[in-house]
Amino acid sequence: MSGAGNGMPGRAIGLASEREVARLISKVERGEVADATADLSLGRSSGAHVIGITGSPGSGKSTLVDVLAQKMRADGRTVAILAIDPSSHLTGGAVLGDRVRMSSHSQDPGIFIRSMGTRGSTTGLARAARDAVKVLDAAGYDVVIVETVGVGQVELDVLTIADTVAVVLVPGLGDTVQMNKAGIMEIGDLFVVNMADRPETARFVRDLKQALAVGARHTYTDMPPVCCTVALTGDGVAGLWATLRDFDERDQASGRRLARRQDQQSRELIRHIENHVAAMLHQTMNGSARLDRLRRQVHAGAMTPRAAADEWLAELRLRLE
Amino acid sequence: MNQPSTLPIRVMLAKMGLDGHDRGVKVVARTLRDAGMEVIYTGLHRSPAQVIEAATQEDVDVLGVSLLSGAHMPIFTKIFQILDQMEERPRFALVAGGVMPDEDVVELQQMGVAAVLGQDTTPETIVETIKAVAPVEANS
Repeated sequence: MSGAGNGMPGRAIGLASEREVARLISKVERGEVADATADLSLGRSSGAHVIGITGSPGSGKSTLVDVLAQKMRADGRTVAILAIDPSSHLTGGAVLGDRVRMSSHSQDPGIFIRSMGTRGSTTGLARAARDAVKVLDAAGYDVVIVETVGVGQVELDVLTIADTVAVVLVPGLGDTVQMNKAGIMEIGDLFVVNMADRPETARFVRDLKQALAVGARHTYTDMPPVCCTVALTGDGVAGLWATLRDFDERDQASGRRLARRQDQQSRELIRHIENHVAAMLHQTMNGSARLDRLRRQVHAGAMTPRAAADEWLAELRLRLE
Repeated sequence: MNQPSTLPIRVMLAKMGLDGHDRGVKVVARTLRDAGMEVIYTGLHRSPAQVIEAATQEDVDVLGVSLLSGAHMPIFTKIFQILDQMEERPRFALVAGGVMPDEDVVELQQMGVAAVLGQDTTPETIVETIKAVAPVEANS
């Protein structure tokens, strides 16, 4: 699949300019558009290869993504990058700094880079990121890279969007322990040891492979590949790109890509229903004088919160039946 | 359907040309972050075309240009040249910050710069100015 002159390859459907794509992403972030690309993504069994790249701050992720995108472009792929940075929980603000390291792509129409803050949200980020990825996929980019700092549940949720997840580690940073705790190690389809020119690299790779082999035995899955790279020089990045292409080809050939998309769609269907029901329920609770009376009884020590809830729900159940 | 929420104000801070002094712009970045905004810093030595492309992709509300080198007139002239030639003009407001003589301020504003903030502008004023010039989100 090669990119056309304006950066939008043959699969582009209706979204002609970067400005339109950018505006649509803002709209889906605000939750203004319920189904940004509904008509466009129905029935598509393949689309962009969505690659999640995660790792600690300082692991060289952004530099790696930069070089990786260059390799992809050299192969004629168009690339969209969604770079997610943590926002302050206090102020909601953020300095979104990943873009600084991706300067080599300036004015390449085949590359689109968008920064997103986490905004301290729990579910909001995953939904916003998911919708942004859908927009970029529908706009026709061959590869969509989602870059996150994978340390919390929120960031892990984001990575469920991806077809392939690459975890970036650095020898000597001591973050394998942190990663283990956060469950990152379980979601990696492949592991990238960056800054592989460090002296501790050989031992680190050995330890990592041993840990992964144990994990693979326990879960009866294949041993995830380990790629060594030095992002600053570009060493090993061609190998990483080849590995990613393998994943893409195998996923499409085996039907796993389609199954994964359908699974995502099922979960989204349920989520929409849950959100709607939750909203209706809150509305009912807000208008309920009976609930207020029960609350006062709880405050007076006459009832436990659980008993009050059961009583309120009992009548709700009657009305639903 | 989810209630539409408001997003934080998105600001791009840009350094263009040969000016290599970035301490000030980084302080401004942190100030705006602490005021709840999302700040995207371009890094040093970008061209006007590169910055406008980035600002378009990021759909920012405000593009702040930090200039300490005295090159503000040619740089803003170039910026507006590019914007004027675009089929669909991006919606961000332009703010200039740094070292600019008073006699150039009027001309910059006539070109289309929404605000010019000199070196001794207080953090509070910077934040209030950005909030004031950020376009109100219309349905577009």
